[in-house]
Amino acid sequence: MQSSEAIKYHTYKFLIVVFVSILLLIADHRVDLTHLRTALSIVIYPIQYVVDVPARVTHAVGGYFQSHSRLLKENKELNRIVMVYSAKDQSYRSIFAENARLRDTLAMGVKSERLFMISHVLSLQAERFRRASTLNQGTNAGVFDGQVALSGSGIYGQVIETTPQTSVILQLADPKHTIPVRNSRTGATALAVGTGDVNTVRLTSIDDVEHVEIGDLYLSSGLGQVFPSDYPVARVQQKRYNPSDSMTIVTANTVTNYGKVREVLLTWRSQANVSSKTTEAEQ
Amino acid sequence: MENLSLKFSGAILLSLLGAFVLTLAPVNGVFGLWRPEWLVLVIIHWAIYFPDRISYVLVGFLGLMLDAAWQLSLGQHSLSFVVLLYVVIRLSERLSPNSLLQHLFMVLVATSVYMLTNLWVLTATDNNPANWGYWYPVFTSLLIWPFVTGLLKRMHMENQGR
Repeated sequence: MQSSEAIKYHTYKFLIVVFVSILLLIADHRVDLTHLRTALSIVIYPIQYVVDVPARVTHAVGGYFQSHSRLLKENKELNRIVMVYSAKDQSYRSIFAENARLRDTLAMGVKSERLFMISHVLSLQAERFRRASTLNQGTNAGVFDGQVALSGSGIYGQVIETTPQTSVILQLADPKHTIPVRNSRTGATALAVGTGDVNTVRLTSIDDVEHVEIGDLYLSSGLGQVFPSDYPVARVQQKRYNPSDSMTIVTANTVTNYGKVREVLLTWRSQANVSSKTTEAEQ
Repeated sequence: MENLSLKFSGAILLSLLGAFVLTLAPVNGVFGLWRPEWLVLVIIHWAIYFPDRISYVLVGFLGLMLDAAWQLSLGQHSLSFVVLLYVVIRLSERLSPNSLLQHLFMVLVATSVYMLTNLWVLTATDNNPANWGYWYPVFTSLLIWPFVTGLLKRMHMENQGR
């Protein structure tokens, strides 16, 4: 049993650290602690790297032991897809140039082209408070705050924090995330707000909610100028009337399955003026 | 626990690091909600058996790293870890060192205090997790406690001839 003097000293130590923690919490809300955050992120980067090793090893080992015939088949299939897409891409180029010319004549301003960069997901934070993913590329690779990430199937999220080697993406399902969307069937707009549950968003501020049907696909509307327009976001899963506040609650599943995606595409608008590029190509 | 000592000097740091890795390890879907509070369990164990070896500054820094990893307000987990450590050190003086039942009860109380402290900060910073899933880890932590403490006991030994 400790003496009362020792307990007193012990309690003082405890109170001092509690006081410092509360000061930090307040400071985090009042002033910009980005530098401290970045420094801490650099300290835990090795841990996050280690955490991801099992997943990466199974991925690598699985690839190594794939049978030769299966690889051949896969290769053939991929080659076929590349052919199809390059053919499609050629027609896309000409349509894009035509579109740019038409928009030029109408003085509408040309839609800027988007560039892509592939990045690997290091770790997922599927916790009670956050739905975020850490990527293996940061400011050194040109990632910036607010940058949009896409998965193979649709929109993945946006970058909220960057360090030189890593960046953190807020997923669409995070409770603090909202994205403007548009119903692909009716064209009515809405906001998709994250719920914190796995792969789930809630649709709010819906235009003509009575016409929303289960299975409706919502695309990004491009309003707000953060996200590119017309990428799939979520599919309506449930529509429920809430008697307590006379509102209809519409929940939707995100098109991206966050548990499965290992690579994301970071995208940004190209700075070069596309119309002058296309006209140069024509000359 | 005067007659106890560690098998090697870095044991506490090593176990905390292991718990940190388990806490950050990616888990699929719903299982993330049931993830036991590994760091809490390891801190409780060392606070019971080696209260002089684990310091407030250490667990405070650990909490800060966790906040950085989870993108939370800096200081949230430092606060909850420090409160947890204080509760356990004060409580464990009153418990018999080898009663599993008493320890389980203390783990329940301490984990709940830890979760409540976190909930308080989360609500104050407008991050309120509005579902019962928030409390699932209390149960899984309780279930897994005997195994965690059994494993960590292999890192101490009793001093002979005192």
